[in-house]
Amino acid sequence: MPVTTATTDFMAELPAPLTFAAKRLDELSENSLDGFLAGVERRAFRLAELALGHREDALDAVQEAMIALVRYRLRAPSEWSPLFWRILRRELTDRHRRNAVKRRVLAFLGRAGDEAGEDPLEMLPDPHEDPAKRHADAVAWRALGKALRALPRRQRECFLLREMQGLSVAETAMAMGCSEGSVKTHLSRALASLREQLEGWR
Amino acid sequence: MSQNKSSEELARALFERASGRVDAKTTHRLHLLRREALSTPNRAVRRLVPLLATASLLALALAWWLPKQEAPPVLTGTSTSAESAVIESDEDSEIYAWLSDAPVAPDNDKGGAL
Repeated sequence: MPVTTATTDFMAELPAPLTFAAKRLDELSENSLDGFLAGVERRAFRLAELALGHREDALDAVQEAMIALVRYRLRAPSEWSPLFWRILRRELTDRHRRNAVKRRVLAFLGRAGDEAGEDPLEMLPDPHEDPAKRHADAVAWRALGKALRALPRRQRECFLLREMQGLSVAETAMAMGCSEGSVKTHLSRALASLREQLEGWR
Repeated sequence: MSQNKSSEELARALFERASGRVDAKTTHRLHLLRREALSTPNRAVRRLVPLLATASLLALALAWWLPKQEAPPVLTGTSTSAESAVIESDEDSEIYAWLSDAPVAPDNDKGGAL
């Protein structure tokens, strides 16, 4: 929220430490968090989409992560990024588990899953782009998602955060709540598995 | 060109393209979700509201019900003894007042009767 004239006048009357605190709070105001979320929301959505394989689920997961992060709005902005990815990872894990149970129930009842309703071509809305390339990207996106969802949970999380989101090993370890050594192990296994599954890309 | 790239490099490039080209509908929805999330100051408090309302109603019901259960024996006992004491004292004073005002019978009646 921008500092209004009234706020500035009020702050001018405060003692120095309180003025500093008021300015600090202003820095941590809604606009800062809004800017942070605006900067990460698309990547978060794509990451969630890869992990869950469902657009609506991905949007829900991102929203839940945003709402959860708002509770930490008074933390230092430097903490928002690791917190957000950690929250999103947890949200994706929970949803992945719920979806697995849902799929089992649907399979038991003889009904297919609802992934078929997704349109992978929607991911590339540029009408001027080469349709063949657009189609190839859509197919590759779907194959990548399928391969990722077939990975063990920790390997999938590690690949998404480290390789897709581009977090450092330390940040990935923090987001996953494990050691840096574990991150390297999970990532190495994930890459080995994905290389086999995505051999057709090369 | 893609022949020289590893699968993870291709995956990363695909992810970057996909993140940069989210369709307008999804972008708008993300914007709305963000606005909604930011306008929710404290979800925990919001979740507590129905609980607090229920607790308040229960407390009110309990406050209304408890005196109703306990009051009758206490109140009736006290009021009966107090009221009867007042009534008795009134009756006594009336009787004494009547006695003091009552005409005394003449002695000749007694004598005549004998």
